[in-house]
Amino acid sequence: MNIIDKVVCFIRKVWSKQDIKTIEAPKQVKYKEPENVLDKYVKVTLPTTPESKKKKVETLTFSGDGLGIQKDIHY
Amino acid sequence: MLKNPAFIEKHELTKFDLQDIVSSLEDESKREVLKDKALLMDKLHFKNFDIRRLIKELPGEEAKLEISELYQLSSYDLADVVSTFCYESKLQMIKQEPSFNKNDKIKILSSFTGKELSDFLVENKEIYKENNIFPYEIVKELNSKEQKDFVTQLDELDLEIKEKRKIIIGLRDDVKQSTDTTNFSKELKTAMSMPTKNGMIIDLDLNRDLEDYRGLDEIIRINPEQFTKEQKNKFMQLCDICPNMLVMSALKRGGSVELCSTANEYKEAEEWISSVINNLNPDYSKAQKMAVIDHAIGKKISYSPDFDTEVFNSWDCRALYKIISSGYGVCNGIASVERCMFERAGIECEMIGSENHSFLKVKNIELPLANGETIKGNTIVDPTWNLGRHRFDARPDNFCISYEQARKNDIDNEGKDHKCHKNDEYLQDTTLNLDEQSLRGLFASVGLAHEDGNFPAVDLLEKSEEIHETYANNLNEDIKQQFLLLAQTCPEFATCQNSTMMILGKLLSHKNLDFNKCVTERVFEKQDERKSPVLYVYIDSDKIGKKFFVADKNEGQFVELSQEKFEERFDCYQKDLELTNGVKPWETKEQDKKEINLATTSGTEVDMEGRE
Repeated sequence: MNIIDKVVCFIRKVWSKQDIKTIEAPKQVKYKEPENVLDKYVKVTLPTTPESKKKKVETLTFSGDGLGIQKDIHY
Repeated sequence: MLKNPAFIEKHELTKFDLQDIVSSLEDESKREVLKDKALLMDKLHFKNFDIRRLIKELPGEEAKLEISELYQLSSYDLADVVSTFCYESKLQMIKQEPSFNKNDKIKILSSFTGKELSDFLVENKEIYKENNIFPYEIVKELNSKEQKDFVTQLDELDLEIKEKRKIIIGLRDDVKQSTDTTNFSKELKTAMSMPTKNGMIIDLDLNRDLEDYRGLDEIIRINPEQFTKEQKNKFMQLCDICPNMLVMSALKRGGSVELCSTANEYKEAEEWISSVINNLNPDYSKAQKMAVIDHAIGKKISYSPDFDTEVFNSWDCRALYKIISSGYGVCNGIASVERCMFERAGIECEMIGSENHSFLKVKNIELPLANGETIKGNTIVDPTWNLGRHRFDARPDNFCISYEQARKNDIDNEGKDHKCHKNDEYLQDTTLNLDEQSLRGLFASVGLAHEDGNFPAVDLLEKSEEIHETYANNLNEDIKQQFLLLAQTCPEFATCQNSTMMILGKLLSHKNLDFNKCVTERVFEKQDERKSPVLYVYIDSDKIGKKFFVADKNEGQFVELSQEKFEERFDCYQKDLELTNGVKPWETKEQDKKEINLATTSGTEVDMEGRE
């Protein structure tokens, strides 16, 4: 089979209706969540601690020499 | 009337009217009214100086003291009241009142008549000597009439000739003009001819014999900033003749605030400034000279490590010559050092202030670009923010930057704008910004960066990285080697605390050092009366526990101490503790070591629980 035949075969396969499977509609679930769960979930998932940052050496901050304000030392 | 607010309101009596009413009362009534402190202070809103004036009008020293005590007058106000006492009572108060300082005592002594003062100086030498009071300090406060009386008796007083000369120099101009100097000695005649202002010599006649100034140290206040080279040379000689004179420098050019340095501090500073300026290659462009000077300042000066503490001296760290001599200063002092040096190198500049910082605007400067072009205009150099960079030969991020760039540099890692360079009015025309490549080229051209454009800090930072890699499994050794590297690179690191804090932030923030917490700050030794700042590093790590390292100024190295020993020897400044509600840095909770996304994990758990 040459390359053209292969391409034609592939396109047919893709577009052929026989190859398409229908997805069944979901069955209705009778499960009901307790009323307070959603609230509880929302409350807890709200971040309660500051986002972790890259650890930095803590030092003083001075407007005078820029300590604690200036970016890293570079060469 | 005084106790009737409706009457006072109806007649619209002012505080001055009410004072006049009290003042016009008969002695006994006045005393009774003054005893009613609640009435005068709370209802009539008299101030202490109003009360002081009324107390002085009372008859009898006992009554004056009684009322003064009732109002708990300051020592200054009390001295003013005592100035109305008789000679003997004044003497007694000077001897016995513990709250009086030197100035209070001078205030009382200068209320003597000329005759009384000359008697006092003969009979009570021990009093003024014990209190470190010089006779000239009292005489110059006398009014013209009393000065004239005093001078007629000067010849007979048993005082050293240098003291008499200081008295003559401190006389008021009208007294000098009316004084007959025919019988004066040559020294006193010379003193009489010296121009003064408020009793002080502020203009030197460098053409006269400098020996004329010997012994007059305490009354000389000279600002040599505008002296020519020849005048400076002469002034240096005068520093040897009058080693205790004060040398002044202006906080701001043309401003009225002047700050004091000693003669020795001036000499040391002047020699250093001259050595930097004289060593500038005459072929250098102005930009190259600026690079050399900015770098030299970074190597010489460190930001005052006691800034914002209870022991900080806001005058000393702004006095031009004291900063250079001590090696410590704050922004406007350091900017004034650079302004002084730039001007000597012929570079036009101006000190600019924001609400919390000072730096320089350099005007009409030509800057060479890496592409061979030259740009000309105004730019910013911030010597104080470059100190830490230059100390460790790193890239100065605040050298020849535009206003726009300076404002970007004001924003910290957390996005907060500290507004250190904000001054729209003076800096809107400051647009020249030396790009990174051109900056590297400029510093390389004067030997302060490698030929490839890297700054020498590359060696330090690469060695630091090597150490981190070599001792990846031995934190103790890694830290020890980092500190050794620091000491080798900058032997004076323990004394330039703020610059060192800056580089430690880099050396100790490596990923291998998996600290819970790392702090580089300042404390003071409890036994040190001056509370001089000491740099320390505190580390909290799961692997090596809590560690305290103190920068030993004598040894020039970090010394490890146990927490117990550290807390026994050192303490935090009160002002630092006020910022943290009294909690010391090593007492705060550890940072979370693991970066756990609490939102996801706890949320999942609750979701699961709900389904159950």
